Amino acid sequence: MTHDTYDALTLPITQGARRTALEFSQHQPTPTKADRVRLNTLAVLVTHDYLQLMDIPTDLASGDSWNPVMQACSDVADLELPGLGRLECRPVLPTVDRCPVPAETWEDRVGYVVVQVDELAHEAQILGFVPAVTDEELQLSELRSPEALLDHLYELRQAQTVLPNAMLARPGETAGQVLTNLSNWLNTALQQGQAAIESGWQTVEQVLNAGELSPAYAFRRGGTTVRRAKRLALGEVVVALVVDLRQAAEAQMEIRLQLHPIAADARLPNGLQLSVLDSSDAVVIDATATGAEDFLELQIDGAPGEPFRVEVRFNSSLETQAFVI
Amino acid sequence: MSDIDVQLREWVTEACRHPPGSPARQRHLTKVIRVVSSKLWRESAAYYQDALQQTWVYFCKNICNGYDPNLGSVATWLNAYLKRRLQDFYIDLQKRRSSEVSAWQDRDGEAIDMIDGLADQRGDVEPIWEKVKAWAEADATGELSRLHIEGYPQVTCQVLILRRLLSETSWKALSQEYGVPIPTLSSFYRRQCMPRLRKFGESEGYVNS
Repeated sequence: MTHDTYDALTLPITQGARRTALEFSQHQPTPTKADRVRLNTLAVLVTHDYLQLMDIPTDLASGDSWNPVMQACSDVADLELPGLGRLECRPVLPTVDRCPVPAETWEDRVGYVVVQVDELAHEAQILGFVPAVTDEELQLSELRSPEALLDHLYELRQAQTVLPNAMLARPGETAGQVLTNLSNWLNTALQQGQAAIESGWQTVEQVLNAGELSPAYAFRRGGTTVRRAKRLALGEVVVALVVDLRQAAEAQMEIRLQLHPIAADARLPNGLQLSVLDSSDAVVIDATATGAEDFLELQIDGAPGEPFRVEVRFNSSLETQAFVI
Repeated sequence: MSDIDVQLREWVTEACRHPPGSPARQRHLTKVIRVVSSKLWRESAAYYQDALQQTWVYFCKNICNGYDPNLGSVATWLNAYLKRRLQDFYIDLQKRRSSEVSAWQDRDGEAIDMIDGLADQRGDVEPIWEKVKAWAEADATGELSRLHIEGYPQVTCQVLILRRLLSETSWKALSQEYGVPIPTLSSFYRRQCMPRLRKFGESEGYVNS
């Protein structure tokens, strides 16, 4: 085995875990699926047990991994962390050096933990984690230590700020909307050399196939930049919102917002609108697709601490993302 | 005292300098767990892992107010607790064995109660996956066959659900077959098909708690 096991953390697999895993596996149509569900369940439970030791709240029952229909129709091993997002807990057997990561888990995860399961010995090793995946296969050599997972979850908690009702809620909107703190993206990038990936935000490469990026996108500017993307769905149309952040001066950030279609060789549909609104709900700048564009782009400048909102509209669908610089 | 014991003690001291739930405390507790694991008492009893997990819970909760470094090493302190838990499990198992006539024991020494044993699910209850298959094939509202990837009307939720459920066709194979990139397929599946599956699971009362 090529993976360095020094960092691996060995934890017991309790009788309750074994029973639950076996029970879930019995609902599956094939032996292969039964094996997979059993291992996925063990990986989730061991991770859950570890996070409980660390005083990190978990909600086992709300994961797809706990829903028998989802177990049958998708290969998921998710663990809900209330207030943070879902952690994917992938099992591997001893003596492998890579971990398969199914495509249906590439989105909507705050991280991926790899758990080596030794059923005969009734124990498992938390080999490590990555905040994001870029491929169907994860090399175990890329894994960071369990301690790095703890830091990552802590940073996620810090990066999400919830403003009181008065500031952001409009009539009919649920109050306490989550704000994405952009300064934190930049701060973490400067500190670590590789930015922490926040809940829902992934690298551009994960959200769009490299071949789908239009040439204009490839333009790079000087200075420290952080670029993150998120998929948004407006009815049947799926787009990627790309946020490009650059520190232009001491208290000045340059923010570029782009909308790209997800489908290869596609254009943005006629009528798709991208707008930026300030804290008083006034539209600062907007752009509307005519059906001829590969992507839409808006640029704004602001100082750290300033809030703004991005709205993407198509027909009757609306997606909103709230930010504070 | 060995070097390892000195190191463990240092980590414990450092952990306890930070508040519970703080990343610094979590990190140092993790370091201790990793290293002290190999110094703990081992048994092959079926309940060993449960006793060990209880020991870790006890460790994380009490190391900063229940452990006196002057009385011995961290490993000694943990082993004492572990052995008490193992003893409790052992006594409990003896009591149950003597009172249940029909208890059987498998190779691992795990007592399996004949009455409460893992039931054969294939008996009278229709397996969940068969219900999902029936539901997807019937597609009563036509929704599953209507939902498709834009530009690819033949790639519907109904098709993907049945392919993933029954033959476990890989995303790679589906991508090659339909000429749709994997991220597009999986994104569509996750956003449009999985929520319908989830709702079906909930409406059938399948969600475990």
